[in-house]
Amino acid sequence: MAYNILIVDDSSIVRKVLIKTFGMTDIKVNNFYQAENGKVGLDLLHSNWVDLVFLDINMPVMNGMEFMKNLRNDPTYKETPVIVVSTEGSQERRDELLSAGIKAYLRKPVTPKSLVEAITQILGESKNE
Amino acid sequence: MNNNTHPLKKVSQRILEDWAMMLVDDAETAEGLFDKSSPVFMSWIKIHGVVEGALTIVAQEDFIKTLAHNLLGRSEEEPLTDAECKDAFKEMGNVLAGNFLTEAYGEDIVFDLIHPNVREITEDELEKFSSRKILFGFMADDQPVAMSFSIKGN
Repeated sequence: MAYNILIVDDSSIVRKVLIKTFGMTDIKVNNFYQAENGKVGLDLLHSNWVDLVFLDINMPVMNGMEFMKNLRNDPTYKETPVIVVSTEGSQERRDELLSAGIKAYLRKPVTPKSLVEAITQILGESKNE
Repeated sequence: MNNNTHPLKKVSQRILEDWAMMLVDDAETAEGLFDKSSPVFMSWIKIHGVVEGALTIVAQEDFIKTLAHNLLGRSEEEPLTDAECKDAFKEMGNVLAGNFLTEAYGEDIVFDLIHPNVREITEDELEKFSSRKILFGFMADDQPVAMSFSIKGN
């Protein structure tokens, strides 16, 4: 199965590096959708089928927590899995994000191995590097 | 320059090698590391939480271009935009700060990284930067780069 992935991050380089990291794995991707903030991310979700969202927290216009709130309040996207990618990794911060409904947390720099593990955990398919 | 066991030195080396995919050597001193006839750029990010301070990286155009090329997986012949170069240098500050704080203060610390920025600096600013207490210089793919961590008020 090939996935449609939405990457929401205000840094174009982070989005591109994540796409490049996908290319270093066996994970099949149909489409990458890219958004520079949560608002654009929600617009893309409304117009495209998305299997998985990669989300940054600190962004202008609409940050990651606001994006999560909007997503979880919409029955259509309530179950869409979200992975947060960030440099901050404390348990307190992870708990806060998990209670907001994220499925996994990846600390930067994201490696092919950590990406495969997170996707395997969430989408339940065995993927190898 | 400080000793070899400082977490900033250890993490800087690791990030340059593993994330930026560069070959890294220590620079003995930060003085004279940079070519003053070419522009010098600074990437910095403020740290709020476990400690109040900032992490700063100083480098020149060739280093920043190599960094962006490596991160994007592009060949050196493929052009880069200014925004891509700036973003890559900014993101390096973000990744370095996060990994340094975890290395220095432990896995469970809480912190925010705010206002990442990149700009060109003057010769005076470079001189001030070079005299900082916590400062490590490297040659990464034969290009100079220096990292510094400063605590607010110090």
